[in-house]
Amino acid sequence: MNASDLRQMLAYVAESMAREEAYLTSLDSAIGDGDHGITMRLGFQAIREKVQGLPESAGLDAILREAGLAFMGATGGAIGVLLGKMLIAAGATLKGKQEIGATEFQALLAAMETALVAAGKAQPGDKTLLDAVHAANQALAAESAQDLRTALKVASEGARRGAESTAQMTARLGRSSRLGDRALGNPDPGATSFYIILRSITEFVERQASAPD
Amino acid sequence: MKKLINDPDAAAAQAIEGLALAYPQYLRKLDGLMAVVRRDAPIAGKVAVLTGGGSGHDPMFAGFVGPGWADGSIAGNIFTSPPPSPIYETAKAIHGGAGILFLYGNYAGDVLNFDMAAEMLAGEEIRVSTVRISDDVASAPPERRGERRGIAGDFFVIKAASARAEERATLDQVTAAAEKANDNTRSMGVALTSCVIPASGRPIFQISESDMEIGMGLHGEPGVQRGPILPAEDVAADMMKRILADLPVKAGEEVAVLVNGLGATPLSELFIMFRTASRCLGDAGLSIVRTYVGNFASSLDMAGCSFTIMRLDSELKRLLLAPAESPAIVQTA
Repeated sequence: MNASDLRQMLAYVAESMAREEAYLTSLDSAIGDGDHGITMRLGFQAIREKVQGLPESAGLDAILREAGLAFMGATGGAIGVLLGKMLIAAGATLKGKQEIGATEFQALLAAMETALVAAGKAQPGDKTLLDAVHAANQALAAESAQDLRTALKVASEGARRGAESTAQMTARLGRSSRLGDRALGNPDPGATSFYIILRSITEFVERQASAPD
Repeated sequence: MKKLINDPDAAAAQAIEGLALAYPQYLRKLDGLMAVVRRDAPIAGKVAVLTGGGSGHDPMFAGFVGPGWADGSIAGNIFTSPPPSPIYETAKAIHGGAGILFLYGNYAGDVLNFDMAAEMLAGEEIRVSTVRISDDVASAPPERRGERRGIAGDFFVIKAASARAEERATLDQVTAAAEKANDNTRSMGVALTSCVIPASGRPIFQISESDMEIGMGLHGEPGVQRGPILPAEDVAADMMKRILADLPVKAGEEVAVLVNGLGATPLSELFIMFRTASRCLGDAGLSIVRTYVGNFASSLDMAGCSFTIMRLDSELKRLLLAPAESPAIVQTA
């Protein structure tokens, strides 16, 4: 995945997020204040606009950094700072790189988890975004993916399991923590969003691979 | 749900615009930001008080900006904290050289974003201190009081801190006043209906026509007890009992009371609720120095109300009663 692909990929994820707005909002209504879908749509819309306006020369690292700043600036809320910092951290791992392959992807996903833990102070099992991020990293570490497509599939599948597992967790942090056990049975909206992001990146890469040149 | 809005995504920004247009005698809007600042900001040598949080709680927070109130207020989208950079920009616009106090309700999103803005300001050697308001008794047990969220108690804490800043106290003194006000303030709410967020157009939770929920939060966070709606007397007595069990207050002391409407409850019902609150406080041997009744920290169009009690000592009493003017309330000497 080169810089031009990365731009298209971010626009593709923005479209997915807009489609998933109602679903994410319904998850958030069950355990939060019901605005998560709107926040994700607005955040990715800002990413798409920001990235479209970047000069042709912008590298992979700059694109992700600007995407992170745009997301943080457009959304607010906890997710704004957390996902914003994660994107900036992901960008930092790509300095000087021209392509994202399996190795680069693994490194950036790990950096995202480190940034999230530092900012959010959550631990796996707290029913947060981290549960999806952590599961994606674990899945990737357990398999030696040779190419980006495989790596994405593995990470996306891990994130799905991580997000689903949050349904059985009791939140310790964030707004849903104030519900205690009443949040049981509902997956965490942030974790679900992270899975949707990885799933739509995977879709994008697969479509690209199957499209005639 | 019928609403008088234009674009749902622009509802929060347009509400701030309207507020600034309506009250130029107290405040002005900052260009490109969902922020208002005192008309005379920045005030040289005065500690600046910055409040803020998600929109949808009008008149909290932007309505409490003016002389004797906060120097500035920054809003996020509906029920969402503002991002770091607008907080930073608003802080810079009100900084008079004596430091800034950040005052906001204790919610994870607000904490992350305001802390990040504070880091940005620290990089420019602007002193920032923070007090997170945590008055809602229903949101965590007493031993975890630091985790409690902030609801209508914001009103008393912002008033006390702003009055202290108006006295030209130092940042440490203003911070101490805010902390003292927060430590002596407790709230408990009751919700009868859900509110509707403009962007989704749907209620954020379900509650039956015949039920109420004690302790529900300002964003629909579930409370401590849901059950059939009772007469106002019983509801008010229950809420006061929970507050007085939590607030370290003794017979003979003085308190201030806020009966806060959540947006869709008529003032008459708030007065009916206050009748009982007043009796409960009297029964506890407490004397009421000042009562406020109205929509101070609402939840869009939610029906219901909250009680907030602040225990007063001589300092808090002085700060509460100090003259102050803002769009939401004008208090004369």
